[in-house]
Amino acid sequence: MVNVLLEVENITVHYGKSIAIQDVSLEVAEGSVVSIIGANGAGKSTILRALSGLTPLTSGEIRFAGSRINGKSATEIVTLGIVHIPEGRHLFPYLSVLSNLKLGASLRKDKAGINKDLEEVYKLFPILRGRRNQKAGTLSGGEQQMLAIGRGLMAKPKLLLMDEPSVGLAPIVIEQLGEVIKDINKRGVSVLLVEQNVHLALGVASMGYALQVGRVVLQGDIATIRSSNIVKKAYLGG
Amino acid sequence: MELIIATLTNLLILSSMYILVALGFAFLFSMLGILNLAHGVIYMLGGYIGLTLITALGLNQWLALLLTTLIVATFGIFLEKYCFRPFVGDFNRIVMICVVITVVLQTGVNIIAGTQILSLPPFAEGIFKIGPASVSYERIVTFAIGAVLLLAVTWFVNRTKWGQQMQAISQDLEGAYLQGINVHRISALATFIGCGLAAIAGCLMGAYLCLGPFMGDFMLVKVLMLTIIAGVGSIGGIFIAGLILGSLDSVLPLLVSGAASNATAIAILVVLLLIRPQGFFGHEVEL
Repeated sequence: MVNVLLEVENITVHYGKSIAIQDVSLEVAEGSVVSIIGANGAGKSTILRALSGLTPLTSGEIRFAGSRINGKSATEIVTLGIVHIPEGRHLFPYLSVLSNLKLGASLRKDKAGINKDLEEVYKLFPILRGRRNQKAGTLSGGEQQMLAIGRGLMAKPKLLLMDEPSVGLAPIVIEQLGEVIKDINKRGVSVLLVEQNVHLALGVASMGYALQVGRVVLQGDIATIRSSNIVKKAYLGG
Repeated sequence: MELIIATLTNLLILSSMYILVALGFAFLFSMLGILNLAHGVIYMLGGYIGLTLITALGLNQWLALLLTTLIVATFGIFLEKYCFRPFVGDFNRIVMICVVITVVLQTGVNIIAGTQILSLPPFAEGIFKIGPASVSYERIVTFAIGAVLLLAVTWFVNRTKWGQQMQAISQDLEGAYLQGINVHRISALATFIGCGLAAIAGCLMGAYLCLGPFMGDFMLVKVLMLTIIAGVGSIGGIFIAGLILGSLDSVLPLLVSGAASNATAIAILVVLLLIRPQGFFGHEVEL
């Protein structure tokens, strides 16, 4: 039995009066990659925003490594090792690539460790080393996504939350992205991936959840998800 | 010759003081979208606190300058925590609060100190001579303090961890939260620095020119114009815009009249708003 790193129990989130997600439960085992798939507006991003403390819960509970984290501030959650790479990347466009990466390590004090991780990120994305003095806003879409992931890794995450990393990327870059996610996972980081690109989502994950209008309609290992009628009909073309 | 040197030093002093005050205003505006219309009275308050410490308590004026900076900067933290932070995003309410702060402080100073024009004792005396030219030490010292502070702030914003976090917050607030940056602490820090700089400028200008309860209004107008010309999010732009306004204010009164410098600055502003609403150096407005 593998340890459960993240447990989400019956969480409900409202935006104003409208309900965004309802009674969602999910689990991420330590060392695994879990995908959440679903259409636009199904509430996928809301789950991640709730996990990283950006959006308050209406009800339910989130536990990380056994202790309750809902109600904690975004800063405290990053300190615990949950790092959220948001949709749209949210880079700091007028700062250099290097500054962006260093800001990812905002809460860390171990200088030697930061430099070591910086080297690791450069090893993972060699293109970033060459562009380290360039402003982040001048990078291409794929490079920006690499930078966003690199910045997330600089925080030394135990659990990486990735929100739609494939948006706006060319198919070949999406393929590389899949490899990168597997690579990151091999280094011991658990990943919770939210994706509309089902091929990417199912390609890297071991477990999956499908979301429809704010509710989990399907869950299980990847084979189950792949063979289910809902997913076949909606995403994989019958 | 005398006139040229006097104008040139005046230009440098006015520019550096405008920039000092504008930086604090620009920090808050670019980081959290807070339009701190009370920044002018904070500058005024700095001058009066400095004067009080020197005349009523008999402190050495350098010590008074230091103490004033700390007092006003701490007042800034109080402002950020109780007057701005609870209302971030609520533009109308923040404007109303700033108007209240302005009226209360201005009236308070007016009642206590009266409307007469006061001034701080000069920070340096004597005259520096090179050949036929001469400059008063006071001007040299005033400009030197301004220049050193501006260099220090630039270094701080670009080279230190906290400065980088300030920039991060102003470029992408959500991104900053997700890096774990403690946004409240950094915005309190920015307010502390901004109010401290305004207080120093208030003391220096109170010695260089004079103090009046309404000096803050004049400065606020300059700061608003400067920020609009510079554009949001560009420190370099603030420096250049400060030099432009300083030049207008030191040269035009000689050539035309005092009123002309304000009119010219506002004319530039209007033209600018028509052709380049994001300012000369600001980032493109993102939608």
